[in-house]
Amino acid sequence: MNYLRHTGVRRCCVALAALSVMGAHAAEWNVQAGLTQRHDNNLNNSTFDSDIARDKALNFFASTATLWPFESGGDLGFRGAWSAEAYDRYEGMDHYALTGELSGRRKWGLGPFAPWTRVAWSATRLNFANSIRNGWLRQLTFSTGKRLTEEWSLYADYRWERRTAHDLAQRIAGVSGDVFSQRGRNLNVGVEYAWSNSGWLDATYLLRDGDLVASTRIHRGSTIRAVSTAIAGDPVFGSDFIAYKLSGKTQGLSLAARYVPARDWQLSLSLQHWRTHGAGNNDYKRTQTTVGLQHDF
Amino acid sequence: MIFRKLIRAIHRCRLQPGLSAFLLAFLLAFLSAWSQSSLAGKITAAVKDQAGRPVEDAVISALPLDARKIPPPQKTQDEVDQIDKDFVPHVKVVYVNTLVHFPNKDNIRHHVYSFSVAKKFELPLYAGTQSAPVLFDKAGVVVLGCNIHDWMLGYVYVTDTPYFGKTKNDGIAGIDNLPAGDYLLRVWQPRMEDSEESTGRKVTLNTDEGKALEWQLTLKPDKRISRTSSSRGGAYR
Repeated sequence: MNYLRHTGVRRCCVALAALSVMGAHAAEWNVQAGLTQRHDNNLNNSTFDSDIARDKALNFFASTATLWPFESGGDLGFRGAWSAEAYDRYEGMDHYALTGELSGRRKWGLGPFAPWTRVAWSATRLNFANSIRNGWLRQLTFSTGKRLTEEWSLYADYRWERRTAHDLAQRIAGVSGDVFSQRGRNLNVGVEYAWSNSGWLDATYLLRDGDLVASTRIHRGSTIRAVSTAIAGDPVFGSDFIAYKLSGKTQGLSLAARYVPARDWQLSLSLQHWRTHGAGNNDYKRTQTTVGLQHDF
Repeated sequence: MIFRKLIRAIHRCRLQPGLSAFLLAFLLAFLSAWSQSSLAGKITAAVKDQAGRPVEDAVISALPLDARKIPPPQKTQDEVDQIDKDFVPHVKVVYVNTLVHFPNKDNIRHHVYSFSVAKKFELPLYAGTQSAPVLFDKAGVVVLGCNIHDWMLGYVYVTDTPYFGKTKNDGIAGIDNLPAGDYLLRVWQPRMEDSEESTGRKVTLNTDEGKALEWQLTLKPDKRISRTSSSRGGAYR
């Protein structure tokens, strides 16, 4: 458990304490904090079984959001979030992220069953223990949803994402080293079911189209070079690893259960599975299981 | 006998005639009120759910079957608070023609509304405790919501009789000061599966009589909109 020695985690704890104090004195701000433990069975998106990196990560997060509601139904929102993630084996993946998000929401009617639409723009600064993945992630998301009954609600969102990172040194002549700058489009469609006053199930289908980054051992370079748009060394997973970028499509399913054991506390358990078809049949699967605890201040 | 003794006692005090008449009138009024309350009936209701657990927030109403015995509604005032993004109390019982205030004791704004047939109203975004009161002039159940905080849910139960009670967490409610007569007693609870009419019971109450009644309700599961936020779906990493 090297987590607590990580600078980002320590900073997060300080931020969490500060946000708690803010939440207690300014109720119009919604403050949340929590931690999750995640297991990832293919952290590096590897196509090749022998190169797969499995690991678990502990994530601390704290966020604060404020809303300016309109009389006509809707609101403008701002959210700031800080998170720090520490990995058990691949410490180069340890990172912290600072996010700012602006959003506007319109409710098309009065009451909880009125449909709503939302647009949000966010920018996240990512700083990793190994700096090759450092960069900015910007996202524009259009969401819509409708509560059908007290038990059932539907939602969907479409998101454009753009990640910019350092242009790394060329590993192979003639192939760009700008691996971690990516673009992608995501579609999420989900349904939520309340099984009791304090428990919810959530199922979401995901479809993604865009750039992918995978890491593998360098001797596989010849098989991936033809389809990669960028290649660079990736020492996070080993000195003989390279990261490569290619285009592909991902389909995924997320199942989550949330339980509220006491007011403002939330326990969650989720399973996410993705199947990716990359250019040149660079296909891979990835599964994450996550348990989490969150508190709303 | 007792009156005569009191009158003699007052005379012995040799008070001025005006003052003694005033004291006498006061005494008679007091005794009349005392005798009425001591002669009034009382109903104690115990409400349980299908598992035998006490049911909170069940409204018991006693409607005199002789309509002439229903006192005409007066314009009275009451209130339903908004505290920590919840309606307090969760269920409020008022007699028809009551003005209800909705003070907002949070330091954020609320937007209170109701779509209910018994009262449709909207109090657009407001802060503070000085909200315009709403007149509940029709008997029935009024479901309250907040358009900003979808999980906020409350009820105003408007009765057509001034004789009502609401169960506490022990499932017990009492209705005091019921004049002797025939009544239709009914129970309502927000989560009850059956209709309120199906709980109706006719009860005859004699002078100075107390009656204890029990109801067993079948309650639906308490499924409400989540107050806590959800991180929906799973972003691809």
